[in-house]
Amino acid sequence: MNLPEDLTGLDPADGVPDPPPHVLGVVVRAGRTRRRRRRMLAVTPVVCAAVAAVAIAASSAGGGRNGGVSRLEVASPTISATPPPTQATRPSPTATATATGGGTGLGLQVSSVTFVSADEGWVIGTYEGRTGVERTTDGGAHWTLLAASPPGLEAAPQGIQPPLIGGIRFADGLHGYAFSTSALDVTDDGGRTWKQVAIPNEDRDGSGATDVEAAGGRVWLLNAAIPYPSIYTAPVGSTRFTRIGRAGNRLAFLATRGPEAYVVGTQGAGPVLPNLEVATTSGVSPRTSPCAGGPGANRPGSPGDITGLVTTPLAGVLDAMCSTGPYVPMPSNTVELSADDGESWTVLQTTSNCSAVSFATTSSRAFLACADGGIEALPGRGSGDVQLASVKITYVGFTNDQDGVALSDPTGKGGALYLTRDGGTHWTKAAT
Amino acid sequence: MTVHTDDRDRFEAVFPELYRSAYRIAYRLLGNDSDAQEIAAETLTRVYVRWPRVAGHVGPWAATVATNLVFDCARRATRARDRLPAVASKEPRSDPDSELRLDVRAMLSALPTRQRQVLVLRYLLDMSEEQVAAALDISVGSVKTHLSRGRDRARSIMEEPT
Repeated sequence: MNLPEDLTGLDPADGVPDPPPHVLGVVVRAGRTRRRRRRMLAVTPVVCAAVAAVAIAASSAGGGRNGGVSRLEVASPTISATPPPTQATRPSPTATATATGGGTGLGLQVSSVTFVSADEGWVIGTYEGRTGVERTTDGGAHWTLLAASPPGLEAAPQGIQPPLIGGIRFADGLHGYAFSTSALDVTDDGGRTWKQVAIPNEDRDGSGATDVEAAGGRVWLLNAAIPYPSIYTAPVGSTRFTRIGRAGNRLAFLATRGPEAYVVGTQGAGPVLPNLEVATTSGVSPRTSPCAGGPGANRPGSPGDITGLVTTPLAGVLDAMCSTGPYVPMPSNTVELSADDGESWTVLQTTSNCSAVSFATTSSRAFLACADGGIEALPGRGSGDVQLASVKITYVGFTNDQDGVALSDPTGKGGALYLTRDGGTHWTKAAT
Repeated sequence: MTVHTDDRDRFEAVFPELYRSAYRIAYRLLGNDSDAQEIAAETLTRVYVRWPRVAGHVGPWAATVATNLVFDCARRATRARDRLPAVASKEPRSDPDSELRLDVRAMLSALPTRQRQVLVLRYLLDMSEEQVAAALDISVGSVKTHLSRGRDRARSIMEEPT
């Protein structure tokens, strides 16, 4: 058989369509997520010491400054920007540099941050054309360079960092994971040495680690594949990953609590609406998705995509942020809460002042990182509730009610780390 | 390798045409609107992620990505179908061109990368030989050579006894 000269007969009868209007936004958002692996969620874990009751007062008396649906009064959840897994062998080239004057003086451009307690945390980023991992044991006041150029995560020539660094996650003070779509590194000595291990890819159709989280003695990993990412898990300290199943949406991220991982699917290619599933070592089971009131849906006031999911120390309680994204004339967000482990959701607060790209909560407030800059606190009480207004924040998270972290856009000269120790009222730039 | 404002503008400028190209490739090879949309979106996402590296030759690069995604998609569909009971394993024939699509896919998948790239641009994107040469930064003569060898090879592959 010969290849026909003219294959136009194989085109759709109505011709090749223009891209639907929303696709550019979806593509850019997915692309940014893949490039920066910014933390779009906050998780609880190890540190969440104080467990308290959650009291939600659905007061309809105008909670938010935007005349929100109801008022957020959550009494105690906690959050942290934490994460994942495993061990190390082939030692990576290491470097030591003790922090002086608050930082290492390297000017590390931070790509990802993780804390396992209010005091102990790690960042990964680039400096002088290299990739570096720094650690703090005093809540971010001082940082020490532990390792340079973890294998497979080396900075590109000219020090450009992009798809190379996906994120860094620690399960405890020793076991940590650094990942990208092309490499997975593990450490079992607190980040001093790193070993590259194979990204689990049982079906041989994965395109790399797109998200990693750790809690409850387990590490969870998403390996992006077409059509849907595969979910893997392993005990902390082991690199023997077990495939649990596939996520229900092509664009997905993880949040963890105890022995469970919540797999959050965002809109994009694949299902039209976002979805939520729970993965355990036994398998994956669906939950009712928050943010189900997107365009055309029948639940008004709950727009768009799941921008973030926060697990709280209280069993069954989840907070979700739904956002229309910036590619609509009037971006809006809602905070939704589930007290029954995702079986049903209640809209707590609506805001239309920013397009949220990251979401965090404390026991009394929710925080949105706005695409146009700044961190907005809800319930809002005026313009004073927007901090770092001139900084484009891409991640915000809290380890407890007082201690929080935020990252600025790591592109260009960004990648700055900001810390708060007063519940988000004041933020200061850390010297990494 | 970050996408700066200028790059973002450039990406947005070429986005519609790249999307249509990726969609056209996927649809011609698969005949399914939903799959074509997904592959087009995935292709453009990969373009965005690697923009600084591929901006200079984004058309051919995106075409290659879209074609590879089609192959992946078809492979998975085949594997899934193989797991079904025999009674359900016949491909639906609602698409009258399905056999032609299958043949074209088989031909292209058996070709070396460069030949496949040239044939995809020429036959799936309807580019002239001159346009293919410009897109790949090679001579028109090279394009003709790749086309000729690609067609010959494809033909011989299809005529091999199975």
